[in-house]
Amino acid sequence: MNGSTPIETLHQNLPSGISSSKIGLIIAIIGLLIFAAHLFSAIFSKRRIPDVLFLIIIGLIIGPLTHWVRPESLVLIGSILSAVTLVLILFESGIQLSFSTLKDSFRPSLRLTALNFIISAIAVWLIGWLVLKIDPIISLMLGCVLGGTASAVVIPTVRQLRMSQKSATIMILEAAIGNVFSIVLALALLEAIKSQHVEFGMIFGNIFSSFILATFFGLLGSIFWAMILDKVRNIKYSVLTTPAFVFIIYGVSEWMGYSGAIAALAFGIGMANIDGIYDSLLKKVVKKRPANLNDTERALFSELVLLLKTFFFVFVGISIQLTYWQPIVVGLGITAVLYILRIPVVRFAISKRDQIPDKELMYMSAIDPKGLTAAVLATQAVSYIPDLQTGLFIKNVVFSVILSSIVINSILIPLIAREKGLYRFYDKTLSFHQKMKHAVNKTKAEQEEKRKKRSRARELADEMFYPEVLEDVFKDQDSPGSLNHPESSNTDVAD
Amino acid sequence: MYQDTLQQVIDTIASQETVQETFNQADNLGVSDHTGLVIAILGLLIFAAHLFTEIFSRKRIPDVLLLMAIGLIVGPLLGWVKPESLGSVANVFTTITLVIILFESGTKLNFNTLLNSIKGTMRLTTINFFVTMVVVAVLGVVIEHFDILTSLMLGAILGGTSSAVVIPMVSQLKVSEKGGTILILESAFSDVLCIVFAWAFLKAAQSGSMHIGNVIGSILSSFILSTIIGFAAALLWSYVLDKMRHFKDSILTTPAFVFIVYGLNQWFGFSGAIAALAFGIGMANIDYAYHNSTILKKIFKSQPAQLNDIERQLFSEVVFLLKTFFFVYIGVSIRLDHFWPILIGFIITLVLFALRIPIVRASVHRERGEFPIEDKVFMSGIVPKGLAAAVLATIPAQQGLPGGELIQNIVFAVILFSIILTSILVPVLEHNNAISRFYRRCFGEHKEPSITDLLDQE
Repeated sequence: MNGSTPIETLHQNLPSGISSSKIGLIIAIIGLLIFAAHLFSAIFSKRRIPDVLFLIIIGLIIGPLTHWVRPESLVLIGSILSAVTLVLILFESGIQLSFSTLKDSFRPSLRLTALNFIISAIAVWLIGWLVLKIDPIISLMLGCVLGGTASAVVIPTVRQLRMSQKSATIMILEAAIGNVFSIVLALALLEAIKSQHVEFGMIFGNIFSSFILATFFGLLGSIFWAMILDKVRNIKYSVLTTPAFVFIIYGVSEWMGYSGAIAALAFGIGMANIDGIYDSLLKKVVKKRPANLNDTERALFSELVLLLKTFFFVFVGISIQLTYWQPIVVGLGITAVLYILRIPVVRFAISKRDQIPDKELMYMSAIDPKGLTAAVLATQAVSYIPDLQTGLFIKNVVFSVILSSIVINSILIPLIAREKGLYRFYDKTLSFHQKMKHAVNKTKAEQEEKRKKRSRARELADEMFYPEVLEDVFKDQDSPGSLNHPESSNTDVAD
Repeated sequence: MYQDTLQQVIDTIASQETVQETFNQADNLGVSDHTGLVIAILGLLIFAAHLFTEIFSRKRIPDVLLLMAIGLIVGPLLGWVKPESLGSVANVFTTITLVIILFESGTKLNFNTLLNSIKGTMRLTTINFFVTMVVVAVLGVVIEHFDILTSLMLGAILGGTSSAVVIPMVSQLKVSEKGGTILILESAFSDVLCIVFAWAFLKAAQSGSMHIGNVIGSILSSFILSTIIGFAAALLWSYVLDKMRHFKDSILTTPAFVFIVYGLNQWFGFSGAIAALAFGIGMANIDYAYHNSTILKKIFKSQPAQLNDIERQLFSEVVFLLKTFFFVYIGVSIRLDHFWPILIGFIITLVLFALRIPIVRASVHRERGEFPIEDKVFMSGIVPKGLAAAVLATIPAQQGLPGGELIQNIVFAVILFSIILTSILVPVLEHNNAISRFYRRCFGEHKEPSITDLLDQE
């Protein structure tokens, strides 16, 4: 396709929602965006300003600010892009997790997820119920929607911060597990809003099946895939069949009602640890050693993730609504509360025994972005909540929280990295508990010392009041002009 | 008090949210409910594409046809996917497919073959274009009683072939390198003729006058300048490439650079497609160019970098992926509402395929000695219309030209039938049967197949 001058009119007249923009220009911009993404990630590794922030800003500029791209024209493709990005990011992060780190980080991660989720949900619930006067169940649903963190933001951030393997795994798992909590609880509450009653048994059942079955399904898929991968490689252009298979795993587990995200992550973990799985489980059953992913495949996946991530965040920027200021302010307030609460949450969830460096603890408390799951749940909520107005309000609040939490996340990280004011603030708040402990210990030690002194004094006194000694004293007392006069010496010793 | 404020807020929002937005919500909802399923289907589609390729290499049923059939089923027949719901993204996607396919096919062409085939290409492209244009114009006047300029415009729209269809087909066929190169180049060059002439006739139909000088000028500038820009960009990129490779995950910066080259060319008013092809050719032959050019050696001390195996592999993977979705999309976007334009489209397609035989004969007859007869047979069977035609077809209706709607529907029908006919003819022509014997006889093979031929076939 080409054109001379008329090409402009040509593209203006295309049956498209891009209006006056020209396809050629769009293609060039897409190309530039890929270069920009590399530039931004270079900036991230040098200046610690997350690339996510720049990408969202680009989206904001071409979307809500200048209206070059309208989110309505991207409805279908946007939701597919988001899901594809989520699946690939989870899978790709899975293939870099080893079983040993996983075992190491699973417990702290579960503690962090649960604590963060419960505290966030309760805080948002109370804000919604008591401050905004929203119906308590709807408000609790809002809390559950905002309880998790976003894998699509957390994983790239954690990667580029070069956090230790253990902390990174904790954060990645938190995002994945938190999503399941969010989805199951929020959907259960939405059902409750519709049907007016809550079934706790079902909720727990759902959470359980979501986790366990999705993990099982993902691992099983990875074993199967590793077994046939060698054969698949004989086909031309077959590298992309692995992501294609992940898509199927994701889609099928979503379809069966489990967590597709967890299945995709488990699939990645399974592929990365297939040798371990084979040695411990399959050696007796299967003779052939399963294939591992090779370097070309890994390189390709990581290229794809970079590409998808870039467009995903630009899309997030585009789809933010800036029409009404009220939900934006409410969302900003909620985000601020969530970030403040995150500090004690991290402090209490991660114990000394986990041996996480202080700086990484700080990063952990500064990473609490909301994302895809929250957006999807909020969109779904609109149709469940009987009152359309409240529904739309909640949706806009959630979108505002998503934006502001990602922005705050992106601002906090470079500030902490500089180790100035904010660093000291986080340092103090995170170690607040420790300092209190220290002070208590100090007073305790002092009191102990005092007690010891007293008891020694009492012993001395006892010795002094030893019957024989007393007898002597009394004998002396009887004699006139003696040194030990009862009024002076006795009271002294007793005290 | 809070409640009052909240109520106010909610009221403002509700009063401003239009009905349209509520519809969007509903749409959005439907999508997010089914996203899992859609993702699984996308995954399955990739496996299906591999299966179809395998079928193609064994049974010679083109994968293109099967992919389009899938698109037809999920699109017009079942109504699951509507082309409108893909909106503007579809335009961007088809263009990206075109750019990447052209670039990637460029990286597989070498200079010697290119020089060898350029003459044949030029002849084939121009003869095919002008003959098609004139004959379709006559058909338009006779059947539909269009006026002469409108008919010529219809002819110009249908004068080219589609790179997106031709290139994947050629790569799976047993044609000589030269024959393949001619077909690929024809598909790229003819787009330029199509667009420039169709626009010229459209303007002429509107204003009543035509500037031949302008038409020739824009064709020349399109060809020459976009080729130069493409080569220059390739030279530049091959010197930057080594540095880019230091970045993590930087393989996709090469396609990104192709996008920029394409976009800039389109923006300047040249042919982005030709520039993308030239860029690919430049990248593939940069070593050859460097060693055979004293000027380059003087300017640049160091050797330019070449694309490495991983990069090439990745590009082929991406092409495979894009091709898969592209053909499904073509299937989805076919309209089957009106019978009459479909019939006219079918007739035109048959005429085009019949005309193609003498056209190929006329354009490659001078190369008879070195040109295998199989190549000529395939060349006459490959006349698919595609992207350029589809884009051009929508313009007359939007410009309010009388009969614009009809033209659009006819062109869409021709696109569909020409791709289907190409996909059917290609496997048929490979075997020894009545049709392939007919084609062979057209190219001067008079003798009946010998016993050895028959044994080969067994």
